[in-house]
Amino acid sequence: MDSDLFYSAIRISTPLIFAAMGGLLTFKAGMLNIALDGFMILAAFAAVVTAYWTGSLTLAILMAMVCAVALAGLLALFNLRFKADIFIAGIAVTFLAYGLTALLLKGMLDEDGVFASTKIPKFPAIDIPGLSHIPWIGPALNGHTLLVYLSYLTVPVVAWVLYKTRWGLRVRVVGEAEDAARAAGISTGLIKVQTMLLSGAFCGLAGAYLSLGYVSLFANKMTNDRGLIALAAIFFAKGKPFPTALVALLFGLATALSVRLPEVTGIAPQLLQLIPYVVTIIALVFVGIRNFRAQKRQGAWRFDIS
Amino acid sequence: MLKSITRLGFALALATASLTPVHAADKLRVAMIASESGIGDRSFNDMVLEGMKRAKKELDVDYVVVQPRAISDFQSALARASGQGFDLIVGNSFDMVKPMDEVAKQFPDQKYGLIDAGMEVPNIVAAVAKDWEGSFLVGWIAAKTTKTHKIGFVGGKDIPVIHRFFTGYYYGAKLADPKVEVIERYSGTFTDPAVGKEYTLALVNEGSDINYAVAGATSSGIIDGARESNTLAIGVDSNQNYLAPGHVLTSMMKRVDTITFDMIKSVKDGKYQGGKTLMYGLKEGGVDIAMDDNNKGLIPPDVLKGAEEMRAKVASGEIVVPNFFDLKPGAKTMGKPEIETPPSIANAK
Repeated sequence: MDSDLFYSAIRISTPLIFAAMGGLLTFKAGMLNIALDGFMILAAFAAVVTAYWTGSLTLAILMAMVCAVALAGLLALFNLRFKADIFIAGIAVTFLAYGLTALLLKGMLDEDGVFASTKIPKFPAIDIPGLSHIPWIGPALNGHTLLVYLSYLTVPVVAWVLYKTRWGLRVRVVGEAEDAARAAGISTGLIKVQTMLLSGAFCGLAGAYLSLGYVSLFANKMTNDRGLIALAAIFFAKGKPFPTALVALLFGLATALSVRLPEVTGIAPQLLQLIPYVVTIIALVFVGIRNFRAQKRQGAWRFDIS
Repeated sequence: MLKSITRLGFALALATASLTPVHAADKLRVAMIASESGIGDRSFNDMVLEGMKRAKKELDVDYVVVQPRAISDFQSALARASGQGFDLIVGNSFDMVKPMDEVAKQFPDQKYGLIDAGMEVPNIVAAVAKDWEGSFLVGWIAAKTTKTHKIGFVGGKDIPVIHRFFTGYYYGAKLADPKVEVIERYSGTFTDPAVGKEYTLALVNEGSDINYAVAGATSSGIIDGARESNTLAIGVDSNQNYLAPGHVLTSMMKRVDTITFDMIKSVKDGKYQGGKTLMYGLKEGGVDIAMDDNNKGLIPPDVLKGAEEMRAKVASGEIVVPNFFDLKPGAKTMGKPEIETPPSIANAK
């Protein structure tokens, strides 16, 4: 038990925080975006291929974001233009992304399952002067890569945008009372498309981090349901940015613990690997009860007349 | 669109299969039914194909490759191939067991070969690589190469098939150096490279400098972790040395190509052993360590020499590497020469 545990928790949480911030925007606009994994896997693939071909990390991140945004656009098209159920369209888009990346991996790189190369550039670790001298906290916070710090910086930015800007207010109104928003003259469709595309951009960063920052390779389905965990974090925190990030961090800490605890305790690994999921389930039950009570109280304020 | 392309490919594969009957009467004809990962998987299917190519060159046989679209098409692909008078039809992977069983009953005169799974049907010869013997060899090399006297093992899941790799690895390591510490870990997933990397970094933190990765796609993260922490990893199944040149000590390879070649040869020589499950260990060349430019110089020459002696001792029966499936839970010793079992076996109930 040392700063190493927290260092790795911060690293594990990074893709979750990116994805959660993206999912949070659509959540606030009243959409359940289940396709976070799909956006991420496409971004992870685009990032690796671009980095491999051009050697540029900047281009790789940009390409990852462009691809994920394009996929988000597709989901928005299905849901908002063709009125497909967002849950079903989201699953379809995710499976499309899984299949497409596996196919492109074969087609573009002639690899099956995994692609790794020494030609893929790595993000340098950032040394923040002075930070490493602070005992305990320093080593845990210092020496991460750019995207790690960026992910934590997005949290206050998202909070500020949602709660301090006119656009953020509109997003929240669309999510809480769409009819009222429409009556007030807000273009709800536009707001929804915007949040969906932004959620793609965030997942683009998450995917790029996963395949270039965390490891330097691409493997089929390497997101391993991180998008769903991010969704769980959003639900747990009721869509509030800071608590959402905190839950993501908690999940990261639980994962880091499950990796390192066998060393200390000798408890069966299966039990330890349950920790993150048990934490998630307990959290969801807790939120479920809380929501049920809140709903009873606020019943009179609902605008759903249909 | 995509579906129609694969369908077309499948039809073409079958068309070539049905066109090939133009052949010299004395030439042996063999069909390969690729498993799900397909040709180009750098793993089993590619190695079966290697065996086919070698047989074509050395034994003068003709071969045809059939690539079914999905596991659900294995049976129809096998049945169609069975109607075309091949001397041997080779399949691989566990997914092929049931389809081949069904088809073999319908075509009792057709000879089949199955790789990587055991079966007992009169007209099927099955062959299994003794992965525990290969793991033994890499464990021995790891224990002789480590500078920290601690080596690690990361399995995909805590299940018997993976324990078999660990038991062999542990046995080899302890035989090389009784004082070496072998850390046993299971990542709980075969599909998450990021978690694999976490495990590597945690093991390195505990002092291990060589980690054996037996975890599917998670392995790629374990190998990536070795590159980042400047330690060594050991690959599995196929040659994974290329994944991080200079950081993969070696790979424990299942020599599916050798097994395929031997199967074809047995048919040609009239020594086909239908109904049996053949075991391919170090002696038979069914498992081996991968040596190429990517791991050049990582294993000291004297260690490599010692490993060859170990290989000879296993082949002669002087050393018997324990198979996890033969060990009883709670067993205190294993193998020949006997050594103490790891805690995970000794304390099991």
